Amino acid sequence: MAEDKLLTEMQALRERITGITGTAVASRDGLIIAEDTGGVNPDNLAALTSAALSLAQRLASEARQGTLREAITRSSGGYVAIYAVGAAAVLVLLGDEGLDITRLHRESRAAVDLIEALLT
Amino acid sequence: MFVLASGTVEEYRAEPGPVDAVLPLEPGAEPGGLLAEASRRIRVLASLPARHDRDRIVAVPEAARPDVRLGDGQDEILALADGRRTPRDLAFALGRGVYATMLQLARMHQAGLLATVSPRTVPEQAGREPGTGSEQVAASGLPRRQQGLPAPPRRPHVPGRAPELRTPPGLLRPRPARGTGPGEAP
Repeated sequence: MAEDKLLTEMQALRERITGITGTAVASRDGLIIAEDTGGVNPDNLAALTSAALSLAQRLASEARQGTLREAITRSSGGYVAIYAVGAAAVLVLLGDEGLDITRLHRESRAAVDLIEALLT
Repeated sequence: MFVLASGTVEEYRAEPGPVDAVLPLEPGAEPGGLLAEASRRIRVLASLPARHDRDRIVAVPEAARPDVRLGDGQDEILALADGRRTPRDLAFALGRGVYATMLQLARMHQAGLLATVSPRTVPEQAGREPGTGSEQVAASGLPRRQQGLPAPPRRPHVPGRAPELRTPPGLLRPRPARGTGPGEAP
């Protein structure tokens, strides 16, 4: 089933990238599709992520810097990384302060493509 | 140095010239001393009966725990040990060093307070090859609010609940064609 594969891929991402504490996939209008957030409220996360992604994409476009690759929020306790999954969905990754950013950059594109294939 | 030495370095890159350090050590430490200390720590951990590098740690349920008085931040560890975190993750969540955390985890494991979740085996490139996976997936629509209708009600969130997949309405069902939905505005 697509949803099982989706969650399996999300959990595999957490296994592969050191420092990821949670993942979620939401629709572009802010509804949760699948979550493995480890305690963070997934509904609030989905709603905020949708808005943040739109804003980041608009910002990238306004700055004439091409297609948005990711929107990262870095805080004292960790990271929130947001990726567009096609035109209809969003992938959110939560990470702690020790998140392996190099690995994140290397793995994220393939993960987004796979999740997009599972959703369409 | 200890974390580097106890893990596997998959790749590295030499940076010529001075490096900007976020937290510079003044005065600097000699590599020999660092290596000796890292070796000592690895030896100490190797001598412990229970050592968990990459296992995910879970708290033993309260009813099954031995009747010991918790101290030294053990309740905090029990609260964080949700089966998702490795010793490294717990150290970050606690804001403490990985070595000290591993020592304490080993002691708590020995005392019957903690257990491990058997590690999942995740193939590095599972389902990545083109031509596998995606074709078998039936066409599905994302959950959407229909035009003219309010958003579906949000579910209340229960903190601390075990992670599970919630099946959103419509993930595996094709979206109804426009104008045929029962609640469609005329």
